[in-house]
Amino acid sequence: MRKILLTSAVFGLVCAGFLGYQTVKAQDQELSPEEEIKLVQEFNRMMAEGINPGEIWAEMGKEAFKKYNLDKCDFGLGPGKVEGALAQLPRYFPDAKRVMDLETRIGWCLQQYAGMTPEQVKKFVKQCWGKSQCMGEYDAIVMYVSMASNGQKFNVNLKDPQVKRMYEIGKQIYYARIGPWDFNCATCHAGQKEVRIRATKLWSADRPGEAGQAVSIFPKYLVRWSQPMTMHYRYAECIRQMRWPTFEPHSDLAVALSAFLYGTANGTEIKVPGIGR
Amino acid sequence: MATGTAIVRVPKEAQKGQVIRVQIVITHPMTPTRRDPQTGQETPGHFLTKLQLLHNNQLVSEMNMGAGVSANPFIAMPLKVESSGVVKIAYEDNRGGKWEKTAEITVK
Repeated sequence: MRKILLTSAVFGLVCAGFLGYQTVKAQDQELSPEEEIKLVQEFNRMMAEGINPGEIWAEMGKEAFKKYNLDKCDFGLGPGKVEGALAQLPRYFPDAKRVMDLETRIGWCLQQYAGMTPEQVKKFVKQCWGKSQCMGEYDAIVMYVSMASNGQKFNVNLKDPQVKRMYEIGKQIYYARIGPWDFNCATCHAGQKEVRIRATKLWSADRPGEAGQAVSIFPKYLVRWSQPMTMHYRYAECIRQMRWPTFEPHSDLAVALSAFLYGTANGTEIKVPGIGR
Repeated sequence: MATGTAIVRVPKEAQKGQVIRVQIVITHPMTPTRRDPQTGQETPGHFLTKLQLLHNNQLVSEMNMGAGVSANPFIAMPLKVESSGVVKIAYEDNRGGKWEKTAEITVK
C-alpha cells in the first residue's frame, strides 16, 4: 500500500513538473533574431509617438540659459542666437582660436560669461554622468540649444581649412586601433556587414545615410536612465567600453570626432530629441 | 526643481463633440520600495499615486498609479469636448507632493 502511494506521488510530481514545463515553454517562446528585431522596432515606434520626456529638459534649459548668462554666447550666428546653431557646428572660432562643436562652445562660454573655472565646468558637465533621473542643468542647456535647430539640415563647412584639418584627425581617430583591447570605433560602426549588440542594430559610417540618422537625434532621451544623453557622454561611454584612456569632455579629441561625424552627416535633417532604450 | 514638472498637450482647436487626445508627460523617479538583500535595510519608494483629469473644473477621469509605472510616465487619455475652456490635470505622490498643470482649448 505504501509503495503504491509513493509511486503515485512520484508519478504525480513528474506529471506536474512536465505540465509546468509545457506551460512555461508556451509562454516564453524562443524568438528568432528577426522577430526580436521586429519587437524592438515596434517598441521604438511606440516610444517615438507622443511627447518625448526630453522636452521637459528643453523647458528647464531655457531658464538655465539665462541664469548662466549665455545670451552673450556667440554660436557662430551672432550673440545669443540659437536657431540653427547646431546645424553649422563645429566651426572655427577666432575668439577662442580653435575649432569647437556645440558642447565645447557652451563650456567655453560658461568660462567666459558665467565666471566658471575649467574645473568647475568639468564638474558641471559630469554632474549627471552615471546617474538616473538626474535633472542636470548642463543637459538641459544642451537640449534647449539643440532643439532650437529642429527641422534644419546639417551644413558643416568642410571647405574651411581648420575644420577640414579636424575632420581628417577625427577620421584617423575613428579608424585607429589602440588600447589594451586593440579596439577602434570602426570595429562596431563601419563596414557593409550588419553588426548587432544583442537586438540593437548598430549604424555604420560606410553605409550612406546611417551616420546622419544616428547623429541627428542627439541629445537623446534614454528610457533606461530616464534622462537625456548628450553627444560627449556618448563618446565617453564608447571610449570606456573600448578601454581607451579616460575621455575628457570638451577636449580636442571630442571636437575631432564631432567634426568627422557631423561632417559625414551633412544634409541630414535634425530631429532632436531622439529616444532610445 | 524638477520632480513633478509636466507637459500637457492638447490640440489648439477642436470641433464640438470631438474626441481629442490629451497627452501628458510627468517627470517623476517612480522608484518602488525595496529591501537591500544584504543589509535588510528598506529604501522607501517615491511614486505617483493619483492623477485626475478635469475639464472646466469638472472631474472627467481619475487614475490610480503605483510603483509599477515607468519613470517619467507618458499618459494619453481621450476626452470628449463640448465647450471651450481649460483642461487641467492634478496629480499627487506618496510623499505628499501635489501639483497642477493646465492647457487651454478652443471649441468651435
